[in-house]
Amino acid sequence: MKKILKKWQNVLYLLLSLGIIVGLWALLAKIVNIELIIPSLQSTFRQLGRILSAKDFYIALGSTLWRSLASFAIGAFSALGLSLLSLLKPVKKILSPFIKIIRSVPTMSVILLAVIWLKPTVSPIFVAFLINFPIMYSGFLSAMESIDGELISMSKIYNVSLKDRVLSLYLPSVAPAAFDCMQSSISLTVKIIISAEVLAQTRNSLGIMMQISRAYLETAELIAYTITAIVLSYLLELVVFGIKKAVVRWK
Amino acid sequence: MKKSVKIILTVSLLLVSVLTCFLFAACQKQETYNAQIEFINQGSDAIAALKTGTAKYAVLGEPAATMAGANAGATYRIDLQKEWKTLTGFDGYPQASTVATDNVIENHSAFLQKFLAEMQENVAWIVEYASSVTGVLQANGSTSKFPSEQVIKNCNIRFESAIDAKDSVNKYLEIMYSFNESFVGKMPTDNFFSSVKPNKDAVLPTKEGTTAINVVVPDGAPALAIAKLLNDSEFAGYDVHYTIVSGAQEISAAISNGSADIAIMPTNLAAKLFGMGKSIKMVSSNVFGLLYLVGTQEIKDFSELNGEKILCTGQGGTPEFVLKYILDKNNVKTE
Repeated sequence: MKKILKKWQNVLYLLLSLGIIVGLWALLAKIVNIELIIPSLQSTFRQLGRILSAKDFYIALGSTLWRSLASFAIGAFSALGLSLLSLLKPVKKILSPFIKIIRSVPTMSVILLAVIWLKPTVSPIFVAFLINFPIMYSGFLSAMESIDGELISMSKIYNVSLKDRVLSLYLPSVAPAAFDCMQSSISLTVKIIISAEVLAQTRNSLGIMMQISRAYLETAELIAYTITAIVLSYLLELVVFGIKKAVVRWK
Repeated sequence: MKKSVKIILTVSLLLVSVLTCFLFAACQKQETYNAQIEFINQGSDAIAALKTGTAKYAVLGEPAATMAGANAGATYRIDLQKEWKTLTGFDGYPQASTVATDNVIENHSAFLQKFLAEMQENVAWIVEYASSVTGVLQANGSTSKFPSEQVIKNCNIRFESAIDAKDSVNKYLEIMYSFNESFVGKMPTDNFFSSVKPNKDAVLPTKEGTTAINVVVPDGAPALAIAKLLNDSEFAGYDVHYTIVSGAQEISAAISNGSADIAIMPTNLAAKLFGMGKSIKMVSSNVFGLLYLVGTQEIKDFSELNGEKILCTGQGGTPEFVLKYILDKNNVKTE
């Protein structure tokens, strides 16, 4: 019995958490008793069922997904490349103020400026990149700087080529921490993309569908879209986790 | 002539006549044009695009339409309200209307009649005192600016009681419904339209104490509909409190939780709340459209929009649907 419980404990904790959330929601809906403000569980799940059977939803989901993946990929590769280069002190010192500025710029002003500069399909990608890049850069660089100095010295003594040092020392050492960083960055990317889609008025996007639901007083529908966005973020985190498991296992 | 030849000649003549009719019809078929709509969040985004030349045309509401002329050289315009009138016969579309709760309509009828009479007088007041309007609104929490009398006139603030505006409202909602049913919800029944009319001479009941009445209006052009009331209107025995809010959702929430007694709101949302069972009725329509297709180059005919990009605010809302309706009726297809 104990063994079974231990094996399934994560699932049980998850179910308990979800149960608490659902219970609190049902209680709040009952207390407020205004469908427009806090819709009931039934109407929300009815809307969820409706949108899951609508073609428009999948077009919007696909559109938001590709923007999220594009932004994440650009951010991750840029962060990886620049963090490797930043192992050279002069490069790190030159990049440092840029990274600080990018990290400090308010998200809203980035979105408002990007909307003026770029097309509605591209501006969310740019905005999310500006948010996720400094986070991943700092995470990757921190992981690389924590590699055992003696290993690095040894690789230099034995004249290990730069390519082999990067592929066999730096990347494998950094991989676990880097994947942890990427796992949280990808769900942040999805959130930022959806926010930017609303302000950029990107057609056929989850952001616009949420905004239209809000404009039409369809609060239950808005929450249903939010649930799909949460599930999307979670699934993407799982994908990154899966890749991490495969890569680290290989190491 | 042999009978068979006669038959062949008759059939041939008939066939040629039918073919001629088809060819004639094909020649008469109107050419279709194509334009692309790109949605923007607000008027200032369009002004920037018009100024830099990344777009030549935009659909903007006032006062953004006038600002586009001043700041981006977009001085050419098509009045979408006039186009609406050409197509539907109704003078503008009743975009925003006033609703009152059943409690106010049934138990404070005289007050409501006087209130509506003040709204009716407001229509001329905002033009006569155009230079003061912005100050009056901003003193009551508005962030809007109406720089000139012409801008105020362009907002098409009028007063039509619910019964008088009924056909216009139904036509507007029917057209909007055809684009997206969720925009309206259920088409309203006749019960949605209150029979109350403005009456300046309505006698307010004498009573002890005052009755609080909360009036909620959205910022922007709809707030113009109560500018005179904000400035100088008083109702004996009533303490009228006005709140200008930023969005229609706040008004809907206020109606839903009972904190608003009278509200100006988008007509479609008023119909939607009525359809949801809220105890409200429409008492008047006040904003009859304020959208203009502005351009940095002259446009004499809709055919000139062929291959062009048109910026538009209000994706999923009145601006998108009114624009698409007018363009479609003028043979301009949009993506």
